[in-house]
Amino acid sequence: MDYLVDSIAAATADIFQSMLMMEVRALTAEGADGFVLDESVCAAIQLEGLYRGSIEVLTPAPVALEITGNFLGLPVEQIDDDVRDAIGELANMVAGNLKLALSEKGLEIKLSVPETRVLPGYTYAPQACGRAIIVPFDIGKGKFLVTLRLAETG
Amino acid sequence: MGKKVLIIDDSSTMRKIVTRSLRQAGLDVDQIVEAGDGQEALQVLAREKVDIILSDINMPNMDGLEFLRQKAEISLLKNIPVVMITTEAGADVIGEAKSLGAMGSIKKPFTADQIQETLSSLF
Repeated sequence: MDYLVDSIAAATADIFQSMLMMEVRALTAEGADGFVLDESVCAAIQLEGLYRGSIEVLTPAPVALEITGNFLGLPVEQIDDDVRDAIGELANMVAGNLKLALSEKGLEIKLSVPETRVLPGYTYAPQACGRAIIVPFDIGKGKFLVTLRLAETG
Repeated sequence: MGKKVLIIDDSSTMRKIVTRSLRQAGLDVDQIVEAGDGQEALQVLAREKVDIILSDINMPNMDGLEFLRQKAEISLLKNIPVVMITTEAGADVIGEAKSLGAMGSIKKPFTADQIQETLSSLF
């Protein structure tokens, strides 16, 4: 499963460097232990095919605002439709790169359109995440998580 | 005279990013119109003449591939060049888009330089 972690890390770095012009650093799962998200924006994409599951991008509100502001090229001060759409598009691009990585291993999946919601508080504990692959990221001004859940169909 | 460009993507964020990238790439864009999916794009094209179309593939209501199929059936639209801007990088999907008339594709995420390199021949 290391290639999945590497794919998520590489895809996220590519998006941040090429489109957002922001530095981003992938952390180890333990490196973000105890990371507390208050109000956060979660964008999820469902995966279907030989494997089923989901990929989620979970950003605390300040990080979501920072990312959206960089996408749009202007400051963003509150969670609104632009922020939900921006985080959804971030998840869309991460999922698209992951799909390509899986395809190169012979695993074809289909992606849903992103669904985005605002969540209340959340505390990250890697030992509680079961079989999910979680990659924490640090953008300097805060952290966010990318979570992949993948199980063989049938 | 600059070109009139139709951007088709269900993400308003992505439509703004593409708009900004076209300008950063220094392409001669006179006007930009937008649509949220293929169905809406056909409605826009029924009332507005555009020079170039940039389209996502995965969209609700009508995706980019179905848009290409329907566009090809409309004589006034079939010669307008279309470039796909999409997370779909698989050879089969891009190959299908080209067989339906797309001139090329740009993979998301992209830089302004990549936009310039792929689209400059159309401007």
